[in-house]
Amino acid sequence: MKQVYCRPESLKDNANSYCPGCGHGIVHRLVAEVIDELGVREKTVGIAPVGCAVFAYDYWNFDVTEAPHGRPPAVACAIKRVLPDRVVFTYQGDGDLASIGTNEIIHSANRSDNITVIFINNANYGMTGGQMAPTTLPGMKTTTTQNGRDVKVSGYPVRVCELLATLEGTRYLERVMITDPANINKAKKAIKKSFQTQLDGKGFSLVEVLSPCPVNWGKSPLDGLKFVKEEMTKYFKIGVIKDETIQ
Amino acid sequence: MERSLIMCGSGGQGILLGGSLALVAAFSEGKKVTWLPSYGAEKRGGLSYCAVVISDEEIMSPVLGLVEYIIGLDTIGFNVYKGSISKGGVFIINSSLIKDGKSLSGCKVVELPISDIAKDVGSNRVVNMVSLGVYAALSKAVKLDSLKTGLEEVMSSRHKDMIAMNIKALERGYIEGGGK
Amino acid sequence: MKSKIHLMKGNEAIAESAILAGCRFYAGYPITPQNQIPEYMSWRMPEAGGSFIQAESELAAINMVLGASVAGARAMTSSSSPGISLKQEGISYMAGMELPALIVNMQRGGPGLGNIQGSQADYFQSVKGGGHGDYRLITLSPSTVQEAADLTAEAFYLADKYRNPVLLLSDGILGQMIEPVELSERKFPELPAKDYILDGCKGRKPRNLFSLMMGPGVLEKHNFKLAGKYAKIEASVRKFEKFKLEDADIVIVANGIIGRISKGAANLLRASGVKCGVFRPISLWPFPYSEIKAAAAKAKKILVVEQNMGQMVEDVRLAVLDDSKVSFFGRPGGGCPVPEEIAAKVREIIK
Repeated sequence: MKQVYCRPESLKDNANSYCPGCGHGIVHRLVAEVIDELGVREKTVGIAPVGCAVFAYDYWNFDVTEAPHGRPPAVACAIKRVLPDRVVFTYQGDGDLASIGTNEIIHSANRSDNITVIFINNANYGMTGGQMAPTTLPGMKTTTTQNGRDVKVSGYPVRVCELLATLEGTRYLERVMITDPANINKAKKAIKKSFQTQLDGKGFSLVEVLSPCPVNWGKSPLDGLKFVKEEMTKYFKIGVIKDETIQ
Repeated sequence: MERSLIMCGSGGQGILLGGSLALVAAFSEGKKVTWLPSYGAEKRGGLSYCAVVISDEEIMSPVLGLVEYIIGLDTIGFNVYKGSISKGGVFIINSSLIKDGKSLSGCKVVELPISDIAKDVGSNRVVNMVSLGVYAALSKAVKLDSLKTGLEEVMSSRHKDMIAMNIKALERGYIEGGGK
Repeated sequence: MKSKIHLMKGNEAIAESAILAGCRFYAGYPITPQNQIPEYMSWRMPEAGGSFIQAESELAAINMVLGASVAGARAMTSSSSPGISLKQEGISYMAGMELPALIVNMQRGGPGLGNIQGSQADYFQSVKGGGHGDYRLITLSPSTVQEAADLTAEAFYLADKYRNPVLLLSDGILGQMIEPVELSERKFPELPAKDYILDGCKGRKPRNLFSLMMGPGVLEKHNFKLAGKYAKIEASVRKFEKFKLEDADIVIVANGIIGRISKGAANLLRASGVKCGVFRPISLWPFPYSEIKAAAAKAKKILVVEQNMGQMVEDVRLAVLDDSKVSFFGRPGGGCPVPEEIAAKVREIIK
């Protein structure tokens, strides 16, 4: 019998602890599939963030280190300099990357560190219980914006890809969502391209994944997906934001 | 015996270079040495100083309290360090710029128009070397020859063409200080 | 650079000694009075085949060092007091993850932005915690440029041996001063291969490095393990200098640059008939409690001299356990006593 679907080797046989409808499980799997397909599992070092994905090393079947909150790009930069022939990527949430770690991500991009960044944008701090993130939409209710995010008080959502696109050092930036099979396939393609960019020695790339967090959003998993597709994409445009991989 | 020297003045007078030449020269004579500069925010025109200790034995303190020899190249340095000379110490004063050297007491004051002598040698920029020549002659803590040899080491490569004038300045200072 | 005596700034001697000790990764951020370290490393590190990065912040710098250590490199960063405060988060993580590295603090006056003069105001921060959590840093305090170079080399060995960050705690004076220094590749006992680093899982099971331990009792167990390691370090890494202590009635306890200046004071006092000696702790953690206790037993008075308003003195009191014997003399905010001043203080307490 022909096997058409199985657990990627880069994924451990562990049940994950993510909430129902959470996007992390999907993206973890996409990363694992890509690493398998590129045949780089044994030379990959991943950097897990502080946030829901901090336990990513319980799920990925390759070397993974933890890093202080927001600092994965600095850690990744050093690992890549010490071991230039390894595949190094960070996996970061919006609090980690776009708030406490803004400085690190900007300068890693600006140095064009030859790394891959998987950026999960779910518009809130998941692990700590659903507080406002830099990516929380205007008017969106969180535990620290209980009447909805007031931009006059809390400012505007940060568009990471567009921000980084202004830097000379960024080579490939794409925003994807994981709301349906077609978009999940697109997301995988983007993640694969990002790793390929690194393998080709071209420099910094980042894939921003709009990802549902239905439990903290107070929605059902299906409504969570609908929110990503209908609300988040209004503010965070899906598509390639910058591509300088072909010159 | 432990010999101590403070060279002081303002940024641009070559204070740090002068002090490090004394250090290099004494080290070449087999002495133990330390050199401690002013550092940080001081730039051209601000206070500049360095402390040099030359000794036959282990040097305990690179930080100096009362000092055996002080070279004051302008009023900025003089005003800060005029109280730091030891009883019986020697204050070498650039009288071209410092007019109140006479106010010192309890030490030997050697007033010489060091800036004018430097200009006479060829440039105001060698004021540090003239003063070091005077110091070598008076203190005998370091030999004129060692200072001359040390120039090669302390001068940056882009100033190598200045070595001849610096040697002239050291020699002239040495004579002004009574050396033979 | 083969073994030869050089005239070098303390900062440069530390940098070159690190290179000779096999350090192949440096990340740092400019701050006075330690700028000669990154400046030296910026050309020397690539020449030695390593990586130099001027980081965007102190936080990035320490986390780059964390990453380099994860990847197995001998790595270091350097800064001065305000910058070291910023690094504390990373240092705590490295202690928790048991990652070796050298952190150099060329102290300056504080608190706050303070000034740029030499200081010993970061003693508590260095040996009593600094970052959060129940951890220890091996903390070494040199008093000469030569000792700074020697301890730099040894720091990398100790860091690797114990899988623990090591702090070289010095100050602006030692960083800026020039002194003769002999540099050479030093020999240390062979260390086992690093079996924890992350370099891709080829031929082995995947590894992880982390300090988050949420399971019931897991972190407590980890802390017990760390405590066991710290106990081992306390038993075997004790460094100090005893200067003219044999017949000393007065013992000055001082570390770093103040340690050597105090030796100058002891010489002045001996010249006038006062039997003074100096106990100079070199490892500030582990602190040589029992050795100080022994030195104090024979002395009539102990004077602790520091460039702060009383930090190490607390550890000396814990060692001596006789407060009537222990006096303190401090110069804070970048002030630095000279031998005559310390000698005068001794004469005052023995009156």
